Amino acid sequence: MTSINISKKEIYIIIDIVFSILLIIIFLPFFYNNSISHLTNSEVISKVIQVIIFSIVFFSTTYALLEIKFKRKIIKDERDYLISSKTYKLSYLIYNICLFWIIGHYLDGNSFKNNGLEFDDSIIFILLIVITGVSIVKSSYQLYVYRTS
Amino acid sequence: MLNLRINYTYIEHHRYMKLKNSIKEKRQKRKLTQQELADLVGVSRQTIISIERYRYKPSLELGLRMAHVLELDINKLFYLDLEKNTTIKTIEKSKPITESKKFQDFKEKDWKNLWVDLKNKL
Repeated sequence: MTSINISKKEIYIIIDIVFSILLIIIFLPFFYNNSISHLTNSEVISKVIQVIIFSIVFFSTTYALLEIKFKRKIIKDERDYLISSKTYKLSYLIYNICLFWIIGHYLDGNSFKNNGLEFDDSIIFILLIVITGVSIVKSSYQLYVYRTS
Repeated sequence: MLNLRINYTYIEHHRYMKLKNSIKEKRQKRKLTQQELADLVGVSRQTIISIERYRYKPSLELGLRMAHVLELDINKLFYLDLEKNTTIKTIEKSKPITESKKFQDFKEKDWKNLWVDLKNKL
């Protein structure tokens, strides 16, 4: 069986993807089930604190483990900057398309036609989905470019 | 009117000429590993791998640094793959002669051509 030769940079990208996926699985259902207007301030703040604590714990443990396993320091060179510019360009494009789609969706909706522009509570959930989704796509593309170019 | 036939022979270079390099060969000659070369040049090992496999085209600065480390001229390290992308083409073209000829210089062939020209015009 052949082993996959994977670099430290690629593992960092995989960690980013895993984090985004976990964020979607663990925290996004909360925003889907409960509309923001029905939640109290303390509930929202506690959720935000949970997300922050989760991210700190996740990144500190994974990065610490990674540093123990791979002791060599990461050298950032011109190829890294090229790849990151490529991936950010793609993510910016997807983000723009999603934003225009959301705006179009709301402008086309009945709420706008009858009562003017009124965003419902689902906007928060949709925006969170877009942010995490774009992050996953960006990291996956970055990983793909690292492996192929 | 007199016509002059000219053969144009030219070398056509294709727009895309592949940039190749002999880094792997030169590195192995100097008994350097990819990691050692990467450390000397100041890039990651993955970048060296990508350059050796022609997946990534390095900047001029990085190319010069590599040539400096391997103690070579940059032209010997990086080169354009011309042979496969060059074709030689020959084109035949007729070019009209506009220069005026003196009566004394007219030869039999010129008289004939003049006669044909006049006939065509009439």
